[in-house]
Amino acid sequence: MTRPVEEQTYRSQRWFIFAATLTVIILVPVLCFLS
Amino acid sequence: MEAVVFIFLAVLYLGYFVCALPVAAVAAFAIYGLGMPLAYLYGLAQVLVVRPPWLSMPTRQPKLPAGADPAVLQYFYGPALVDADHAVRVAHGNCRAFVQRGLRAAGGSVSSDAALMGWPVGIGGAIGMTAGTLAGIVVTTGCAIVHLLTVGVSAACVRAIGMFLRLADSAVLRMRNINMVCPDCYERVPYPGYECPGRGCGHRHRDVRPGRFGISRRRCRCGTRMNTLLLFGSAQMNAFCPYCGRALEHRPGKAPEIVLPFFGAAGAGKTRLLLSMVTQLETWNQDGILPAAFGDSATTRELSSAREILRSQAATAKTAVKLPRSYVIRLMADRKSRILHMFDAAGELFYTSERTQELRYLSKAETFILVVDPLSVPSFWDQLPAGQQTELAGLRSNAPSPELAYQQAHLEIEAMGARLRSARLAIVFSRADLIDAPDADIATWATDTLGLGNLVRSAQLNFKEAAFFFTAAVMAGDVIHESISTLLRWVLRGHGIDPPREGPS
Repeated sequence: MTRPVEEQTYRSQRWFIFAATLTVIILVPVLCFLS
Repeated sequence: MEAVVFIFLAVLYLGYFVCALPVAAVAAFAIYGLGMPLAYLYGLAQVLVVRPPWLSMPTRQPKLPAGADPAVLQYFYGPALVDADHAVRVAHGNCRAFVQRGLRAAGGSVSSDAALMGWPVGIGGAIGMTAGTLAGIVVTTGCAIVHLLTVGVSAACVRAIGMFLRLADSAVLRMRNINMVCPDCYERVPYPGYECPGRGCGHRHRDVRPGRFGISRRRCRCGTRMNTLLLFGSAQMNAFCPYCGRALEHRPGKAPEIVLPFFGAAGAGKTRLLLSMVTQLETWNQDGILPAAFGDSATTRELSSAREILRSQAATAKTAVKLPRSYVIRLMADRKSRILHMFDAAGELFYTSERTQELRYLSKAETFILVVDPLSVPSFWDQLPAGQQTELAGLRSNAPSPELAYQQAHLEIEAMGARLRSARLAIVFSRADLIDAPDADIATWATDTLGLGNLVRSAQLNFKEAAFFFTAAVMAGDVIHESISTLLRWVLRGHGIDPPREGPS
């Protein structure tokens, strides 16, 4: 496990990667369906 | 009767079989087709968002080169890949556990006491689970590709932004003509190192620019955030030279720097001239003509008594024969700051090429000041009346000809790769308070009376501009001799500073 300073530093970037991945995974089928 | 019951039950069981098997297969297919990608996303959430204490350790760790700055790696310069690898491993474990749970359930339904009822569900479930798992693997692989692509694209974007910011900062420094020079080791500093501003930390970061430790800001190992660029205000932190490690108290990087070397034979009056120029700057500062301040504590310590030394008319202490540290003075002209480095080396350092080569700051200068004591020129001394010779004998330096120091410095500056054709040279004849001012032009006087024709011609040929001054580094009351302000104005004008004749009323 990484140290607390790194955990704190990476929190927002990890959230960003998770949210971006989830958004793409949801959006791609929706856009495919709509088109 | 029994036969009828058997046939009825057989038909009923057949009906159950026909219904249960496909229903179990469809349900298992749906559960595993959706469950596999969900198990992957759950693993992703565990690694990226929740990070529970029982989460397994990542198998990889980003590696740092030896001697790297004591800072936390930027996420997209290693840790993102570690997380991606970790997330894939955790998700893979989740998916495998999910499939094993299904296999156990299917096996249990076949081998249980109610196997007659359970085996159609088990068989159907197994068939559906197999198909669902295969479909789930395809969807999960798609999710993993999206995740890895997101990491890859984000890392590429972040690195591109870092590169752009680094280039933009360098371009701004170039446009503003900011070339930083270390006052101690004379190296051209591409970017200062900075000390962590955290209380009690003091970790030293040699290169804070955008890169593996942060784009707009970096985080020291102590947790303190630091700006990465002068554009973002890194100049507010304590700087140090990345080459010699000494403190750069004048906070370089925000103002163009002027390197002003004094050279000439020993006893020519270089130090006294420097003190008088500093005193003139102090006067201008007091009169509101040109705001100026000492740039660091060493300069303050050495030069704060310049006015008193000149006013007392005491002889200036002999300059130590060692590599000089620059005196740093911050000037504010037209609301723009400039940093003036004045290098005063002992004359002995200009007598041999080995010693002069050590003065590497000479190659960074665009303006030079050669100080010549007319009394040290034998042909001029011999022309003086005997009475005047007796009077001035104690003040005359025994240094070799001023041409030696000039030629030596000239050769070494050229050897260092400096472009003399774009540099300016002030040839300053000192002692204007002791000898009569020349009637003719100073260059002509130096050629005809002092016999320094070779020096004058060489200076005029090799430098973009050679100007001649006759100065007296003395004070009358609290006023410095006017020749000093003439010289200082010429020096500053070449660097875009033109102090007004009078201060604000």
